[in-house]
Amino acid sequence: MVHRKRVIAAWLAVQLAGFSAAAHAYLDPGTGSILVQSLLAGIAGAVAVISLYWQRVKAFFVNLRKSRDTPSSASSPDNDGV
Amino acid sequence: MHLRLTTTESDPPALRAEPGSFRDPGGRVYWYGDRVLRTVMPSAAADFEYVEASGLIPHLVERGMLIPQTQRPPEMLAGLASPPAYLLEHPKLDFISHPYEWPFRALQAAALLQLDLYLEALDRGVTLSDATAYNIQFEGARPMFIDRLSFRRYVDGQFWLGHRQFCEQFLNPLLLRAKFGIPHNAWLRGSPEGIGAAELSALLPLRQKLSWRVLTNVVMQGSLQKTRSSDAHSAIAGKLRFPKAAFVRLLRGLREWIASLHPADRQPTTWQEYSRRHSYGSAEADAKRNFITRFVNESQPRMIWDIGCNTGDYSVAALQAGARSAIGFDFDQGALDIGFDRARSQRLALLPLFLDVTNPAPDQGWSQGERRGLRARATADAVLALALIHHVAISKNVPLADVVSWLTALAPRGVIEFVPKTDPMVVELLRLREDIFPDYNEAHFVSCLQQRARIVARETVSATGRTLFAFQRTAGSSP
Repeated sequence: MVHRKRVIAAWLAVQLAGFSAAAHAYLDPGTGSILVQSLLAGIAGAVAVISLYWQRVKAFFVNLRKSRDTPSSASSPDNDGV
Repeated sequence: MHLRLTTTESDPPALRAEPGSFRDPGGRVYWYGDRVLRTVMPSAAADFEYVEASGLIPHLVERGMLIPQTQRPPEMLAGLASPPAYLLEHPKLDFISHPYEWPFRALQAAALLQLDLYLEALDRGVTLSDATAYNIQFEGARPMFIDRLSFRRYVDGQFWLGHRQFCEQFLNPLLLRAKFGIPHNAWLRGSPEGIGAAELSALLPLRQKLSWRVLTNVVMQGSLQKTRSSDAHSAIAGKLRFPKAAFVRLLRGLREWIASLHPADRQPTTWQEYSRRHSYGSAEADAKRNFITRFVNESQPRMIWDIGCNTGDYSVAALQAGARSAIGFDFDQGALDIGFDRARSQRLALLPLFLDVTNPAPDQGWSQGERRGLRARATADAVLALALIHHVAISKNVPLADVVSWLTALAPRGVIEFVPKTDPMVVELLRLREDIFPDYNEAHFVSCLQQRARIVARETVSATGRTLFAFQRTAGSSP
């Protein structure tokens, strides 16, 4: 499925962009800390992808509603259609 | 290697490297007499220039978050094996305190400063090379960052290299008190580099571990740290990036969490309760305050040390009388937290610190020179010791002469309160034990004091015979 491929591509883009080691890093950051941050980065990436995906789902329904509604009711509150 | 400062002075003071400043090869702190100089080596010059151009430094200095700096010509410092690219001078701080002397509230304030500073820095494309609590010092109860060299250029995707250090030196010690009611001071003094995630994690009950913040910052960090020998994990660290948005979210999350922490003490501590029960509006307290006011007016001390400060009432009296700054010492965590909150909210030049008089902070760390002990930092102009010596002489069995000797060695002048055996507090101390203190009386106290100092004023302030003595150390008895 096209969407699924896009999700995977976006995920990889987030995860595999090069990590540039900090200049003059005299401190050992610790494996535990780096792995926890990697996890947080993964979650951030996933949230970004899901939110992008969700925007599209939302846009799909909004467009659907717009196409059913009359132009005058399109700007009125939610309880008017779909 | 002979170090010298290029100067026209005929007899210049010695230049010496600060023993606590050796970890970062990017630069080092030197003492030139009372002046504080910081080198920036060529390896750190590009980062230094980048940070200067970012505008971050004046922004932080204006807000009181960072110690001010003045650039000096690097040629000023001659004799180094490799010359520095830049040379900075910082104002000298009155007193250097260690995180294991800070009460909970001070460590918490320092942690929040570290995070606020980081958020400001990231906003301007700057990161920090470390997150050590020793980079923060206090002016009164206001924390201030003192290591200009920690600021480095931020490259998008970089990890937070100081995250583990932040957790070990700030988060885990705070959690120890917030989760268990155990103060961090003894553990951090024994282990000045911090409390490891795995160690704290081993203590936590399962339900505590299920919180997302505890799970990620403590439990997972601790358990994953054990996998350090695996090549696969170090490879991961080389391939991944940490998005800035996630970085900012981590810092903000920690900030919100740490700001919400409170000591989990099950009941008020002894002296917290004492200060609540004993009215400091009493005639005795007024007499003590007046005595201290007169003492400060006459001796004009710049910095006073208040040993056994409780919540800081008499430090406040000394400050109001004109002392420039006060360091309060006490062993009661509840009283210290109240004192710190009070100093913070009233913007007093008072820093309450943890001290067990019978076991002050020693010279420790690398080569026993990295973190100086209390005696080496005793630069007070005056010492106050009110309602203290009976606890040391009777509860701790320290001979009265030794107590007087220790106190008079701390500062050239001061005020000591003698509490006689007839006082209800001393009666209470002796209630369950044999009185093995035939020498504990005012006459002996006076003779001990006169061996080291001249008594310049005395006043009995209570019906039970409590008496204040103002002393001036005599020339032959300096420490």
